[in-house]
Parts: sequence; C-alpha cells; structure tokens
Amino acid sequence: MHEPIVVTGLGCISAAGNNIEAFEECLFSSKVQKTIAPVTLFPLSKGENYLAAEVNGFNKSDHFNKNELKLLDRYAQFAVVSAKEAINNAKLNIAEHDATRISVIHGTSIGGQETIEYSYAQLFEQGNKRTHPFTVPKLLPSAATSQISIRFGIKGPSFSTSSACSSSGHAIAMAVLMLRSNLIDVAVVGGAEACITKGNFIAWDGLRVLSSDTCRPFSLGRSGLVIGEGAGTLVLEREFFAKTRKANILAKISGIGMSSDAHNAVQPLAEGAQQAMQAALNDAKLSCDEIDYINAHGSATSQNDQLESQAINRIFADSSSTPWVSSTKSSHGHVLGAGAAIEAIASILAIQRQEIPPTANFIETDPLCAINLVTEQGVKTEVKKALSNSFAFGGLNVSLIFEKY
Amino acid sequence: MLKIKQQIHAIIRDYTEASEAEYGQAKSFAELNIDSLSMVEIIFDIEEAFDIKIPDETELDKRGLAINNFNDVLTVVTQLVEKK
Repeated sequence: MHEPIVVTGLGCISAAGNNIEAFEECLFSSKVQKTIAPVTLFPLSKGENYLAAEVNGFNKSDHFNKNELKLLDRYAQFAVVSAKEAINNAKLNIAEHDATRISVIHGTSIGGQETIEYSYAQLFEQGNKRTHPFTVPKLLPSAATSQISIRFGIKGPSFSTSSACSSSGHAIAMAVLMLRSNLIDVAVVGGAEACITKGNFIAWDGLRVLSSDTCRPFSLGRSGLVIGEGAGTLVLEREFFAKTRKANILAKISGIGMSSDAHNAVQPLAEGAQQAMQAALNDAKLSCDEIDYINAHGSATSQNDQLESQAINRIFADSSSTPWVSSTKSSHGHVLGAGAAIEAIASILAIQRQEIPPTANFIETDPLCAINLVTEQGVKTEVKKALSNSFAFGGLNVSLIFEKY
Repeated sequence: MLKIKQQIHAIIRDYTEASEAEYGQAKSFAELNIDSLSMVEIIFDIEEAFDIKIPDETELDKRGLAINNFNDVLTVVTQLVEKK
C-alpha cells in the first residue's frame, strides 16, 4: 500500500483562459465561446483556412524581461507562467523545503517549434549564414523543465517527457511513481505547447485531420481536431508532506494507467485505450461503477471518437451506472503535449465544483459514439472520481484518475 | 582602430550598465557584470558586425591572444579585420 498522492496547486494558460479562474469560467460556461478562430499567429496564404485555439491577451513582456526572453521559446514562456501560478496556488515556498526533493517533470510534444521555424527561415529563406547562439537551448523539448527549475530553484530529479498528445500525462504518471517511491516530496508537473506555426500547420494538414469549421468532439458533423496552445501545471505532493506543511489539498490522484497500442503511427486502437483505462482503475483499486466522469481524449477526429467510445463502452459494459463523458478540447483546443495536464485540471475542477463541463459545439449524436456525453451546458451532479484520457499518435496512451479529497 | 573600438563599445553597451570609460579598465568581462552567457552573444554580435570568425580560446591561446576583457577583444578583432 503506497502513500496517497495529492494535488495542491493548479496553473493554466490556454485559449480558454490565461489563468485557472478564467479557464474555469470559460470551461463551465453554457455560452458559446469564441476560443476557436482562424489563425492569427502567422499569415495565412491564399486558400489556407487554418483554425486554432490561440492564447489571447498574452503579453510576454508582462512576465519576462528582455534577457529572459532570449532563452524562452513561446512554449517555455507558457510553461513558466503556468508553473508560477501552480506554485503560488499551492502556497509552496520552495526555499523553506529541501529543494533536492522537489522535481519538475514537464512534457511537450514538439518543444520550441517557433524557434525552429524562425531559425530555418533565417537560414534557408533569408540567406543568413547562421542563427542566434541561443537557438539550441531555446528549442530543446527539455527547455521548459530547465527554465522552471532555474526560476524556482528546484533541484530534485527533473526531466521532460515526450509522447505526442500524451506527453504531460506521462509527466504526471512519472511524478506519481517518484512520489510513491519516496524519492521526492513534491513534483511540479505538467506540459506546454506552442506550435501554431506555418510549417507545423502545413505538416498537420497533410494528415487530413484538421477541422474545417470548429472542434465538435463525438458529434455528427465533426470535421477534425483544432490545434491549441498553452500550458498546464499541477503541484503534486506526498499526502504526509502536504499535511505537514498544512497545504490546501485540492484532490487526490489515485490511479495512473499507461499502455502502448503497438499498432500504427497514426491510427488508434480501442484495445490500447481500454488497457490504459483498466490499468488506471486497477492502480486506484476502483471498480468501473465508481467513476462519475470521464474527461475524454475526444480529439474530434472521426477515428478517435469512435474508438474511444468503443473502449469506454467495453470498460463500462458491466457497470451499473454509466459515467458522464465530455471533451473539453471543444473549448481549449487540442493542446497536444499540454493536453493531458490541462484536462487533468479540468477533471479536478469538475470534482471541486461537482459539475461536469460541457462538450461545446455539439450538433447531433453520432450513433457510433454511444456514450453518456454532456453537451451544451454543464451537469451539476456528484463527482467523486474522474478519469482523464490522453491518447497519442503512435498509440501511446495514458489514463489518470482523480478523486475528491 | 577607433571605428572598431566604437563599434565594439556599441555592442557591449547592450549587456552592461558600466560606463564606456570602464570597459578598457576592467581586467575581465565579469568585472563589467557580463556573464558567460552574455559573452556568447557578444562574440556572436561582433562576428556578425565585422563579418569575421573569432577562433575558439585554444586556438587564440596558440596565437598568444585571448578574449578575457575588452582590450583582448579589441586586439583580436582588429587583427582579424586587418587580415580580411
């Protein structure tokens, strides 16, 4: 029996809000949100109709000085901003504790994509002979982790995880294992992504999965996913440590489940999703009856939503009650490597509010997605236990279970 | 030489609050509160400005040169610009 691991701090920046308060307000609102719109972060060429869930009203100079910005790609800026909010929210004064027993584990799918494309443009379009000397430390997928560690003086085992759209889910899972093993007392975990760039969108477009109108998870008429940007960070602690320092405990993370489809580079497999959810239930020692809410991966691609529905229905086939399901990607977009962290936060907010956030932009039930989907407006109901799914390209799956504390 | 000195002054000005009069007096860039990370940028800026390549420190050492302070850099840059 391992010591319980608890959540004591949340931080978030996304199209659905630049802090937790704004994010919560947007997520649970029944009003139509204008979080998804044509791309503004790069100029669209004729015939390009790319949509994105961009962070709005973010002025990097409000958060960082000129010298700091030289080393911070947009994705790392988001990571640091969300980490700062989470650490403040946890009222965690790192200087008062053994910093060698505090970790940063932050995931990203791509890392400094903006820096990569800017540097390539300098070299291959503008004829520059070389790029700025900080290009490498700025673009690394581990840069966000390093910058959080440097800024807050966190000296424990720290690293980045990268597993496409499950990156921050794996970050959370790794942190839970390190906390359970008593290697560390606290983990600052999450993920960040900022890849609304021309090159990246052209590449994604080639996969024919980008939406042409908006993000409509599990709905008939859905046309694909909408890429978002932002970051989510959680502060996780061993329960004893949190109680000793009299922290405000927001939730318990009781189950982590991971699996690999071993199937296809882009096509998901229901069995892999099912395996991850079952592993999380086993880890939390829960039966499927006890899950009140599933924050689905729900990417709004035709394939994911059908196969995830199949997997959910297989897991809950023998359950006496059917859990509510929603996909908050309809509000904050598909934030790739940050998605699992942002959706973990959404799941914890659902527990705190005792309310399921809606799946926005829903039109009509897809008979191939026969799940108990919350649409249009949130449902006030008892939410003691929530399961959050993240399924990545390449079949890398993570399911996390959060419980009311 | 004067023009080179002025150009290097202009580059260094972005990285320190020390006065230009202090540049030549400091025994090291650290005395001007310029850290190693900023030095990487300064070298890059100088190379771009003069279209030269400053050799690494081992190579400079072989030639009896260094880039530990302003006067060192001025000497190196002047030599490289003259050789162009």
